[in-house]
Amino acid sequence: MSNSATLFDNDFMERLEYLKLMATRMLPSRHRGEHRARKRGSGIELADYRPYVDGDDTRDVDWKAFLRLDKLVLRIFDEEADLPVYLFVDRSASMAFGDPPKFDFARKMAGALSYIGLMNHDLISIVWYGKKIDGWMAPKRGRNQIFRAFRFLDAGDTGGATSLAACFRTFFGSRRKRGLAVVLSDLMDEEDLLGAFDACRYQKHDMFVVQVLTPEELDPALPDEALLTDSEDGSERRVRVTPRLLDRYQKALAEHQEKVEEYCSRYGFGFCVANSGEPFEDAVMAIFKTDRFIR
Amino acid sequence: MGFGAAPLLIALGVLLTAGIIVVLYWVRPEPQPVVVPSNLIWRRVLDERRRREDFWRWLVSLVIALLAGLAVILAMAQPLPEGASRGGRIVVVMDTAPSMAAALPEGGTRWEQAAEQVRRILTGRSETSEFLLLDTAGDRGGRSFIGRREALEALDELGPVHGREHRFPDVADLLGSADGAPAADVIFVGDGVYVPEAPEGVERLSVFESVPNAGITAFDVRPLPSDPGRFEAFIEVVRHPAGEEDAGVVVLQIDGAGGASARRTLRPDPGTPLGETVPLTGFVAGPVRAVIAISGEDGLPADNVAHAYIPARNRLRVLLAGGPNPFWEAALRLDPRVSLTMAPSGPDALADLDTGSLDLVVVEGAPPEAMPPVPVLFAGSGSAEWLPPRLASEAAGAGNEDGATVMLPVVRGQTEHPLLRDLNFEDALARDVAAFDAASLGDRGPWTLLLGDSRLGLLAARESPLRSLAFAFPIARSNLPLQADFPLLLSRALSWLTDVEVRRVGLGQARVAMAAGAIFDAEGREVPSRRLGSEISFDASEPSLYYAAGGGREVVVAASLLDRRASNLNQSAWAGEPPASLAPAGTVASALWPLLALFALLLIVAEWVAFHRHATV
Repeated sequence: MSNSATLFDNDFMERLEYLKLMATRMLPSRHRGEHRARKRGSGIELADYRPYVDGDDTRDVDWKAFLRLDKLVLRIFDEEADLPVYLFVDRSASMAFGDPPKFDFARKMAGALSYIGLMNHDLISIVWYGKKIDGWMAPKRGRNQIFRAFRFLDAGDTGGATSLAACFRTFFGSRRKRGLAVVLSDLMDEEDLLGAFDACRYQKHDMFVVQVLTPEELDPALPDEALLTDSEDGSERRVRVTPRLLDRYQKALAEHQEKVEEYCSRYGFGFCVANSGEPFEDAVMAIFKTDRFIR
Repeated sequence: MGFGAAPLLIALGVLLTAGIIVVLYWVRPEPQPVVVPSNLIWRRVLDERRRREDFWRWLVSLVIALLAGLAVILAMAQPLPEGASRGGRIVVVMDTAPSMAAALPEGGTRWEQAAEQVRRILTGRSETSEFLLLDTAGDRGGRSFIGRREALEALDELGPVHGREHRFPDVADLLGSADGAPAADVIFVGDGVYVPEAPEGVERLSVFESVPNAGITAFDVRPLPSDPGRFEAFIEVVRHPAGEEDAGVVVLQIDGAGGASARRTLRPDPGTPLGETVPLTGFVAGPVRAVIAISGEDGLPADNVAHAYIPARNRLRVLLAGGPNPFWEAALRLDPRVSLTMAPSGPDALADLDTGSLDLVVVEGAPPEAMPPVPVLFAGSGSAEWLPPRLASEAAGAGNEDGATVMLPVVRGQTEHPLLRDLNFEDALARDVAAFDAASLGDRGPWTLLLGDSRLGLLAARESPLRSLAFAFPIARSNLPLQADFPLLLSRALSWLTDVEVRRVGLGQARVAMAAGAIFDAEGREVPSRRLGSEISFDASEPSLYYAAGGGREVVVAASLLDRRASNLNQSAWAGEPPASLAPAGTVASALWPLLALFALLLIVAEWVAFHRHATV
């Protein structure tokens, strides 16, 4: 926990309290698992009514309505379940860039989400991934697991290439309880990114994608003649940087983001872009503000 | 298309330019290494960019570089348009007539414009061309073709020439050759005033442009017949307007020595000379200058000024020696200018003459042994070393001794002498004649025979060192004073002996009959001159007074243009032709190479700016 003093220090904890307070205001209060299940069933929160048919559980019949209406009406409750939250944190070499590094930013976001999730009795899993799954914190629930999560996140390090597809194939190849997959990555993935998302989608998982980019990636400042070296594969490209070229870069980046966003939008997933140069809590709040993070 | 530069220089330029282009393409700035998180986005951008634009940008850059290089090479090679590129021989005939000095309304002169045209011709031709520069005055003759540089130097030495006959030089041998093709291109550059025609086959380049001009075409100062001590000036003025407008007013100003001046306003008809006689009241001996002025432009300043000189003295101090002589006394006192003094009798009467108080000595009888230091009018039969040799008495004829008379015929060829012009002495007779030896006079001595025959010399004159007249007989022993023309002869003799010698010349090369001496201008500066036999030649290119001094003589030379033809600047046979405002074929090249160099520079600058300002990428 040597890094915990810098990454998850008291200041960070105070920010988490603020985030928790904000999250409490923005999200409905629940006692058990915070994520509403998609199917209706046993639970305590009334969702709807419907006429009684043979075979229905008579315990759900609303007898007061029967006395008023002289009809058997069945109460329908939302089935409440403690849906797991899978936090996929990209630890490839490209995440080491930025000030603060994108990796730290992603870890802080993961720590914040873990904190809020654990405080709300969600089942939290954290996955390091690069070219493959490099580490996994098994699902944890309960507030007492928060420091375990912090220690896990604090121990992470960057290096290697990225393959979300390989990670998802491996991770979701095993049967996982259906839940919410949160991807914290710069999405600079040479392999089929949307194919990776498909692997998640086919398993009926919900998904929220957070693209973490540095200000330099969003608005590059380069010398006129530059030899660009890829931090992951070492490939080099010589460029003569011109305003037109930078404009093309912005467009290409926007196209890349639009492709992901369009995919997410099409399948009801969440997507947002986080600037690592901004406070991480702003990014977390931006995530909460999207109605796609919590259904 | 050919090239004006030497082939070696062109090859050197090609290699140099190609080398520079190659080096510039090799030498590219080293890129600055930058490690980025991922090249994923960059790869997509660069792949698309390279596909779409890199090729075109590279192609455009290459084209610009090639164009710039080509322009530099062409500039160095000095391309010549068709016709000018061929080498060969070019003959340029320059019109050096006085009218070429005409000032043009837009500035400069016809000559300067012609010289500029010829410079363009010379510099616009191929390096291998040969040139022959001729002129209408004949100063440049021969058939030696020279290079461009020598031709340009020769052109700088030429200019309008006054006082010479101008004609187109004989170039027939250059206009035809054995195979029918001309041996050389012959170009005549002029204004068509003095030399209106050029042989067929000669390319004519006109610099004629009509210009207004007023000029003095005649100017003379002469004594009044009734009073030799007073003078009048005759001046002729002509004005040639440029168009159909009225000739306008010409203001004439005549200035003389001592601040004397006269002013007239003249209104000559266009193109018609107007003569005017102006009394020079109050003018004394010395320089006289006439200046005309008109309102507006004047094409030829050289004919606006004319010079003359009043040679005669208003008072002649004459010493009569040889004893009382009523004939001489009566004759000399008839001239109002004469202030007569009688010399005492005796052989030493002329020993100590005060030359500062005397203008002339008249001696009758025994001549002094030495020539007096002032002009002398001698009449008598005595001999002296400074007098012409006389014939022996036997040869002169016994009749002289017994009182026989001798006729005084005018020597053939001397009827136009200033002393004898229009005078008649057919009835003149003389006794006691000790005739001069006519055979020893003339060109072989300082004395010139004026009266007499081929054997007997009766009146002789000498020019130097001082003018003198010698009669071979005593005046008192002849009937010469009774002749009607004698007073006139005496008046002329007094003037001829005492007047300052004045010579009027036109502009150009002037000659003065003086065996040795120097020429000075009006400010006293010596003018370069050269001896031509018994004459001194110098360049009187500007209207002015010059002074020739040498051997005890002084001759005033009044140089003025006074040329009706020169003043009529618009009398050109080429008047209907447009002036040569454009350079002929081939001369464009002289101005092409700077344009090419500028074009190359602009391309390079445009490429540099476009590259560094990212204007094209």
